[in-house]
Amino acid sequence: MRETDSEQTIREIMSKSRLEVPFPDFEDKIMGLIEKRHSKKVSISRDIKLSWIFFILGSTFGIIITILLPKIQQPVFGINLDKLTMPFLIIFSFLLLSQIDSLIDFYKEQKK
Amino acid sequence: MDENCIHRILNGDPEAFRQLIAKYKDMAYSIAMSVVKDEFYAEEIIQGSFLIAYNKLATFKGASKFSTWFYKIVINESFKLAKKHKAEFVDFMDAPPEISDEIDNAILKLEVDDQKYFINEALKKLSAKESLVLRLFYLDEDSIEEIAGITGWSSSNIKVVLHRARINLRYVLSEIYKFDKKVLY
Repeated sequence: MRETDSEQTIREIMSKSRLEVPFPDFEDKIMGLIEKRHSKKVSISRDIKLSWIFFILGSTFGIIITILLPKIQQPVFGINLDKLTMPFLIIFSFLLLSQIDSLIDFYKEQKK
Repeated sequence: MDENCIHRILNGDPEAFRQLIAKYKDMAYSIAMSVVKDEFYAEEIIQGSFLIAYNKLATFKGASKFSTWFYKIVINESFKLAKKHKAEFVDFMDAPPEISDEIDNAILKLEVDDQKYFINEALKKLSAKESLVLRLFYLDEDSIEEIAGITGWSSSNIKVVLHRARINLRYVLSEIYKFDKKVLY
């Protein structure tokens, strides 16, 4: 009986323990943050699309140059283009791999 | 109602989230206050928790109630912040308490605002676990199994904490009341 009385008292006491959020603009603040994040997400997603387009354009251009360079026999500004093929290939491969890696990471991050 | 809101949000109507905020903000705030005992930290926690809930809403499969899923996030965020500010939140109470029924009754005869003041001050002085279990059990009327689902603690642990929390709450309440009376009169 005493146990029940005590339980009833605690129940009554605890019914008064609900706290109210003391910040009147709380809902607006959260909705504002959600809206901000949403716009940021949309803008990032547009940037990613543009990045892919320029990446593909750059890669295609790089591949065309790589194929054409050895075929040009005439020196340009006194430089033999045969000698430029290897350094160009190294730089192009390095840029291609690092850019694709960054883009994939960026895309994965965005998907989270 | 929750399912309807979630469905609308997932179908591109973020404004529906406002209804979930309005429904759960006070209980989420009470939960966060149970752990961190500071209103600004509690605000930071529930703000972050609502954002997490919004971003991860697609992963909520409806296996449990939305409240269970959401309060789990609030509790995780609360303990994360409490851990970060460990030194500031001191757990209370080792002494065996002496409880008087008269003080319980005296408190319940006070004005409602005064009652709320004493009760919430007492809950601030309880440990995070005790205060949290009391609020989930009595205020949100969750069962021991539901509390276990929300907190990740075992049912037997919750029963022990709840038992200790009831005793400690009445003890702290009587101490605060006696102290306040001494200061006032």
